Amino acid sequence: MKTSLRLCFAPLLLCTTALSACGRDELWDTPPSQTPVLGLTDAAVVIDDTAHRALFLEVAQDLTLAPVSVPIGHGYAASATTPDDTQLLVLSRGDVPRKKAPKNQSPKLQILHAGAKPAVDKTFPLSDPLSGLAVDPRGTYAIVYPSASDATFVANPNELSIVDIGAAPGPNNPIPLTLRSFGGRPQGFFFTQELDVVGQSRRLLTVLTDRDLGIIDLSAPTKGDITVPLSSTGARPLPVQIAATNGLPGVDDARLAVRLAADSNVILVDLLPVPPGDAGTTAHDFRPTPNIVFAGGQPSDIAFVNTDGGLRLAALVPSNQALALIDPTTGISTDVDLGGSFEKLSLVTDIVGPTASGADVALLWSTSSTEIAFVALGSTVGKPYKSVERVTLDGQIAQVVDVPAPNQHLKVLVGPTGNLYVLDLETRTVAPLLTSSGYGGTAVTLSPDGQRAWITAPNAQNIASLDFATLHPKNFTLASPATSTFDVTKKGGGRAVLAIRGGNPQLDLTLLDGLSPSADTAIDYPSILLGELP
Amino acid sequence: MKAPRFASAFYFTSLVVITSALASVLLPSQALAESPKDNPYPKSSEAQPRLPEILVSTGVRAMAIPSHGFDAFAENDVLLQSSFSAGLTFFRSGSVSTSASFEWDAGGKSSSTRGLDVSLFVHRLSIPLEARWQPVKRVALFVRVAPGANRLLGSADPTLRARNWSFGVDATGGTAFMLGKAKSARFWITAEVGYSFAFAASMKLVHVQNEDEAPRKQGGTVLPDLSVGGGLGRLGVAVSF
Repeated sequence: MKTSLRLCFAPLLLCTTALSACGRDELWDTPPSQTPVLGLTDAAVVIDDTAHRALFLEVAQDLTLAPVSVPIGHGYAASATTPDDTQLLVLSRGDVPRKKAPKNQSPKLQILHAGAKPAVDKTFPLSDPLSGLAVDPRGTYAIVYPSASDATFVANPNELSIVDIGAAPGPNNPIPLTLRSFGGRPQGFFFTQELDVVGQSRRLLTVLTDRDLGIIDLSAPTKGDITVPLSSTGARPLPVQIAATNGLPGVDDARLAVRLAADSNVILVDLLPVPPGDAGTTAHDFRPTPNIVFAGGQPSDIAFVNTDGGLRLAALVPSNQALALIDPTTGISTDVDLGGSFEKLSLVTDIVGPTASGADVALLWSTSSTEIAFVALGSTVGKPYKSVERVTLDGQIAQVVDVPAPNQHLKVLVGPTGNLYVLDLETRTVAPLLTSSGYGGTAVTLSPDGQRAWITAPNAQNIASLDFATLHPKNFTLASPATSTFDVTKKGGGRAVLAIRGGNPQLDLTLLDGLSPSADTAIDYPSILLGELP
Repeated sequence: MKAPRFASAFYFTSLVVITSALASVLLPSQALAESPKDNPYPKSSEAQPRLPEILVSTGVRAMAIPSHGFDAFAENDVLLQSSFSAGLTFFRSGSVSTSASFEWDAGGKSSSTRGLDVSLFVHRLSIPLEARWQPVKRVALFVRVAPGANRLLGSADPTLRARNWSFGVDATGGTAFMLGKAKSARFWITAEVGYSFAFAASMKLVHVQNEDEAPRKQGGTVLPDLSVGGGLGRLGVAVSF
């Protein structure tokens, strides 16, 4: 009888054991590890690397979450949004090392969009698995380049691909390029505006390496780069910032300015025509010519500005408590005494209007000073400045956030300890906003319609909306602190706010009505990364 | 990696074959020798069981569930449940009888899903209708149809719940082997295989607030639809009297 019983249960045991070996997809077994969240106009997007997908979080008219999962392939490396927040760029390394076909996936850059049916718009195949991604502030180009994390047996750190985002993928898109290097490797990229160079309007891509500069003509990228050595003495100056100017109207004097790390010099790069005698020696029709000018101290920020004396390169020199105005033609520098140390400079002429003489107005601030200053650059002839108007705050400023139209005359100043100020550039008033102590790292998210700001802090279980019309803050308590906030357009109109709450690797979320936020209508969604899986 | 979907069909077929072979092995040659063609109780000393005859059984129900929704709760496709049933044989004609019963199956799975502790418990309440043919005294073959309802109780650590009902029907066939009898009670061991058809149910994870929390509107995170259908096997012991 015992034998019979054993025989009876044997098949069941056999089958259950066999079925136990029949496992599920590995995505269920792997916790989410890398989950950057990006904002588009009508969705927040979570990159769920272990599930190889982008999870679009859209909001329906009735304030319910409408998540959509879009596969992005293997080997997520980087992502970014276009400047107008309508498209998402996802860079994937593919399978490294390669797998057997058909499971193997190759490196690629994908362009995705949200909307009625989120999907991949374009896929640009790439020849190499690279992790660096830079996007043109105008949204025309993307650069794929080797980042420090790209470690292979043998790699050329100066290989990059230029992708024309608007054009279709093809043999000439992306364009692979190897920088002519003198030992350096790319550290950053700067896209210029349209510059009139040798009678032709074109945009330039400036590659900042760890010792020199590469300039790529985006109207003819296949011509390769022009390497601009920044030192003739064998030193390795580190370029950290570029400013570009088209020069004076009607004059072919476009140029670049390069700020160097820990260096009192600024390098002006004139973009001059190639001398007729050298025309056959280069594929390019212009030649960058560097000139070193002394700023009087280590500058912390630079920008080209208009003064009534003409175009100047403004270099903020905190150690001198001065703004050096450098004539790019002569290299002669004139200091504007600021009466305080300022590190950052932002031109606000477009908002407040130029001075009577047509000169620029700059806003200055500092992470080490409690002052901000407005500098009107109207009288650099004789008297080196027209006016410096300083405003003293309660604390330092770590970040200045621009408010979109129609409230572009406002700026939100964020201090390192969570203090907030709303600066009105037109009335030059500063409205302080009190925040609870101990909430450092305050984050400000602006609604794209420019009507309000959303304020969160990493350790605060609150979110506040600030109406720019009344400067009245409304506070709401969340179930847990928010790590990022996105103000998006609801399907069918209206606005919604998605507060992504961390702490849970699956990510929790609170949804608020953007136009009339209320705790009564807010909805919590738990563990959103468990949803919309295949 | 996910095994192909035909794997469950393969295992199901294997179960049928193995069980059929087992039935033939278990048939005692003595019983076969004395079996009449149309009545398992030919001798007057062994009167037929009275009607209605009460049937009580317990056992193990094993399922192979290929649903993607099941992957959210389980590392493999197997769901084991304890099974209890009680019913009546209400008709008998010669070696053929029919019965109806009430069955409760209960069992669950738990796993770590994407770093979160999750579990699923499935209660199945069904009304099996069974036709049985007893060619010999100690062996019966039966087919069974069991419409029923599944109560799906999903949870995720620590306060997330997903609840739903789904409906379906089991279609199985099997064999029963009489182990022995004492007075009017007969003891059986049963084995059956078949397929459980079940509608897919939406599983939405919702945070369950405790009493200390301020009331908040809760939305749900939708998991893949869960269907607890698939290949089915059941082994049990039963007593009829």
